This record gives sequence, structure tokens and C-alpha cells, in this order.
Amino acid sequence: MKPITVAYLGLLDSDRATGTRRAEEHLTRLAQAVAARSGYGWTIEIISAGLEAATHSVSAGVLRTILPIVGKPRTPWDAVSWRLPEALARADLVHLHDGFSRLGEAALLIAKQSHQPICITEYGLNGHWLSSELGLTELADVVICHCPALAGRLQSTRPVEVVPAKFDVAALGLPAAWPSPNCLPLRAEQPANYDYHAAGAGLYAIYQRLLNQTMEMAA
Amino acid sequence: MRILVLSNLYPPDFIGGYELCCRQIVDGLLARGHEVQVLTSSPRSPCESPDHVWRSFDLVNCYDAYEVLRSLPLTRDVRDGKSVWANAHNVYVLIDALKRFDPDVVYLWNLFGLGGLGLVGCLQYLAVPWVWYLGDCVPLMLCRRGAEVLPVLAEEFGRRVRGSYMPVSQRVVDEIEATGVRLSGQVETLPNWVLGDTPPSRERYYRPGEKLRIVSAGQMGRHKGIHLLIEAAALLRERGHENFSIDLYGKVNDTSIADLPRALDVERHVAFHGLCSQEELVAHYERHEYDVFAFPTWEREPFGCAPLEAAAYGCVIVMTQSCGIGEWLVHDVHCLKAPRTAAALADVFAGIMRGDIDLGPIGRRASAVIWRDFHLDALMPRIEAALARAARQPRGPVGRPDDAYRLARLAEKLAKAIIHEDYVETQAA
Repeated sequence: MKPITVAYLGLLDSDRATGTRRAEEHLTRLAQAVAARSGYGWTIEIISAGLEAATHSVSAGVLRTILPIVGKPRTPWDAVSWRLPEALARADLVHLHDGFSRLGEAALLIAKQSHQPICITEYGLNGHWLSSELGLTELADVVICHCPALAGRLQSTRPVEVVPAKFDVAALGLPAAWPSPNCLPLRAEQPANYDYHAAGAGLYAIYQRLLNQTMEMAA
Repeated sequence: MRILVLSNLYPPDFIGGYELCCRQIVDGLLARGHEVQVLTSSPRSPCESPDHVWRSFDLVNCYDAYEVLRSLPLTRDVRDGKSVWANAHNVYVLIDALKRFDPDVVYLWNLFGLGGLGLVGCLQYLAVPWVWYLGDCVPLMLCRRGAEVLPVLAEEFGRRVRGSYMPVSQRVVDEIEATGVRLSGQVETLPNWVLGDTPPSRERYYRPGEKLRIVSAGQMGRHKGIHLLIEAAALLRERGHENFSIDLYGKVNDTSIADLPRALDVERHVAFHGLCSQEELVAHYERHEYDVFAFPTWEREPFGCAPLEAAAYGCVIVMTQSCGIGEWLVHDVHCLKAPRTAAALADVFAGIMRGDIDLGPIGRRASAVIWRDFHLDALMPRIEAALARAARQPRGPVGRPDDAYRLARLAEKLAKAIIHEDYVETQAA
């Protein structure tokens, strides 16, 4: 059986604005939990665009890829890379962890056009014009919420799955109004009591269902 | 079959052969009993449209030199992006047309100015089969930013866009693929054509001592070599030849060309007659009013409908040594080929006037082969077969129309954002 690759995008641009590694650490731990749940049969590739392009192995089943950035983006969240289509072509499933970065939007465009299964994590944020104006979560195959109450409130025609966790995305850095290159005031603490093991198990189950559905449809 | 035809322009709104050919094919398909619906842009001047023509697309008119030259660089870049990459309005119109008409196959023509990449992307996403008539390097144009091909678009086009292509010459394919844009799927070369009933053989050809009547028709621009033709007229005069005329039919948008006959003192020999309908031109050829059709076009000319029409009536083509139509006709057998210089053209015309070149056998052979092999009736079965084959192709995963429209809007916004950002960067530099 072909090994599965899941591409993770989003949140990482915030690290450039906050000067921390909070987003990277969060996604890495999440990816490690999913990889572990797959018995290390799956690879989770965490992708962003940056000045120093490279790919390296973080741990068993987790790759970190930085794609070469195009031009000079005005804010950290405007970064994009022409190598993104090539990177996404390796993925069996794409999970976008934010709705406010251009790399995520470009990934959504590319992955959807190729009928790759897509998950989008929804945090219930307001004010991110492109996502809300275009209703981009409607392009997801599954919308993932950490908060059951938010999942209940979401007006989406797409399936919504809950991976319960106490998670505050503002602790990783949310973009201030464009074209500010800064974050909104950063919460001092990392997400508390976030159970990566449970979240990884939840995500793994969702991914597996989605991949199975995709295979059935292709057949 | 139910065939939806997409074209940036459609007669009576036209610029060149691409859209004229489109109408001929549409009429031919309708005459053969197919249900055909054309989807094109709102006309640049008011015109009548039959029921089978919907003029709902928005054309970003990149052919409008007046507006292009007077636009600010940023405006021009944004227009260019919308012209080739994504125009969400046009994707919406396409989706609506697909719902209303429910075609078996979509027949693509010139998509430049319509956000063609977005239209093709939409068809791919919805798994609608298509056949693409390539009268020019349109896929290549759609992968460009300004004059440069964007490698990422070239690569993705080859990887994701898959269908049936019908280029008018191998040089079209070569020019596209030389830039890294790969045509994936079926590629079948098919020439342009002539219409009408085979005329009686032309009896009378040019004889030395008579006036050599030269004609050319099409866009009166330097890319078509019209300046070379006028310069050749001046060279002929220098060499003592006065008994010739050059009639030019088509819009003259280039003032440097318009003034050339006066500047080179060949006004008595060279006449601009302005735009002339295809029917009127054919009538000139039918009456054998011309001996030679001069076609000193650029070497990247994909085909050339105008010379084919002329040659069908025994008017011998003198063409650039290497150009699209030249792939289909043999030098000294069906036509005369010459290097693309004024001197070389003048040499050929002088050779004819001296009697070194006999136009009769060449004109007769060309006429015979054109009516046999290049008549639309001879080519139509191949076109129908290609459309039917595409319609039968197994389809991949089918996307939702709403998603296709959302993707188009996202693509349009992303393209605009990237163009704006580059502009800011350039200004800063």
C-alpha cells in the first residue's frame, strides 16, 4: 500500500511576526501525534514559504519543508511560493490550519483543483476578508473545529468534525489588520492542556475516513 | 452532439482568421445537424446575434492598442492577468452555460482576453470534455506574465490540463512546447480550410508583359510583413519594373506602414483598400483579378487562411520560406517560398515578370489540392470524430459548480494581489 502523505499548511507565518516558534512547535507536535497514531506509516509534511528553502526530517514521519518565497510579501501572511504546486503534488491530503495566509489560500486553490481531499481548521475568527468573503471553508471536504460550540454555530454545508481540545489560536499569533506586518497582541501562554495525543488520534481518524471516501469515489 | 463553443470574439465582431474560422466551423456543425451554442464576449461594436450565439463573456481587450498604450503599468498588468489567468465573471458565465446547455463536449477556440486559464481550469475541475482548436499558441499565451512564461504555470498546465488539441500546424505545437508548456492528451494537426463549390479551372494566368497584379489581405502590420512588400515595390522600381500593382486589404493601424508607399515613392503601385469582407475578397479571387497573393508574414505565423483562399482560385502564393501554411504546401509545386526580405520578394516578382517563373502550373496544382484536401467538407469528419472521441472519454472526478466559481474568485484575487505586490516592489526598487 502506498504510504500516505499529509501536507500541513498555515499558522507558521505567524512565527515570523511574533519572533517565536509557537506555531511551528504546535504543528510539529500535532504532526508527531498523527504520525505516531499511523504507526509511523504516514508522513506529515509541514510546509511554509521562507527565505531559506530546505526540507529536513523533524522526527519519525514528520518532515519540515520551507519553500522559496516569491517576491517581497508585504506581511508575513502574504508569503507564497511557486514551488507550492510541486510540494502539494506529493500529498494525499491537505490540511490547512488557518484561513488567513496566502500560502494557505494558494494551497486551497491548487489542492481543490486537483480534487485532493482538504481539511480546514476553523477557529471562528472574524475579519479575515478573503476567507469570509469567498466562503473558503465551503471548499473543504471536512471542516475541523476544536470547540463543539463553534461547530454547532458554523453555517457550513460541509461536514464539520470536532476534535475537542482547549486551544487558543491567538496564543500563536493572529495577523493585525493588513498591511500591518505585526500580530495582534499575543497571549502570553501557549495553549494550555492541549492534548496532542488525543488531537492526533482524532485527526488521524478523520483523515482516514476522508482518504477512504476519496478512494471509493475514484473507484 | 451538443457542442458548446467558446471564443473570445465571434463575427461579425472579429479581428482575424481565428474567429472567422470559428464561425465557419459552427455553421458547418449546425448544417450537419449538431446542436451548437456559441459563448463569446459582448461585441466591441453593436451587432446582431443569432439565437445560437450568447455574447455574455467579458473581454479584457488586450488587442486595443489605444487603451493598452495609454494605461498605467499597474493597470496594464492587472488587465493582462485577468486577460489570461482568471476572470471569475467569465467562469460564472461558463458554469451557467454548462447548466443551461448541458453539452456533450466543449469546443475551445481563442481564449485570450477571457481569463482562459480559469475557463480551462473550470472545465477540468467539472470534468467536462473538450477539444481545443489551436489557430495560435493560446495555451502558451495563457501561461505568460507579460512577455515571460511563468515556469510554474507552464509546468502545472502540462500536469493538470488534459484534453484534445487540434493545432493548425506543427509549428504551433513546437512553439508552445519550446517554452515548457506541454500539451497533454491527444494532439492532431488539422489545417485551415476553404469553403464553397469547386470553381471551373482558371484558364488564364499571368503572361510576361502584362501587369503583375499582387494582392495581400489581413492585418496590415509589420508582423505580417506589409512593410517588406512595400519595400519590395520600391526595389522593383529601382530595377526598372513599373508594370505591377499591389492591392492591400485590411485595417491599417500602424502609421509607419500607412505612410510607407509615399515615403518610398510607390504610391502609384501600392494601394490600401481598407477592411474587406471575406466574401468580397473571395469574389475578387473568383474573378481572377489577381495573379499573386503575397504573404511575407513572420515565421511564427501559425497558418494563414487568407492565402489559402486566394490560392484556391489560382492566385499563386508567394510566402515566407518558413511559416505555418508552408508546412502544407510545397515550394515550386503549390506555391513560391522566399526568405523574408524585401529583396527576396522583389526577386520572385521580377522572376515572374521576366517569365522565368510560370505561374500557371503552380496555380493549377495548388487549386486542385486545396479543393480536394483543404475543403471544410473533407476536414469536417475529422473534426466531428475528435469531438465525439472527447465526449466519450472516461471522466475523472467531477467537482461542484459552486466550488468551481469559488476557485475562480480565489484565483482572480490571488493573481491581483501578487501583481499589486510586485508593482509595489518595483516602485520601491
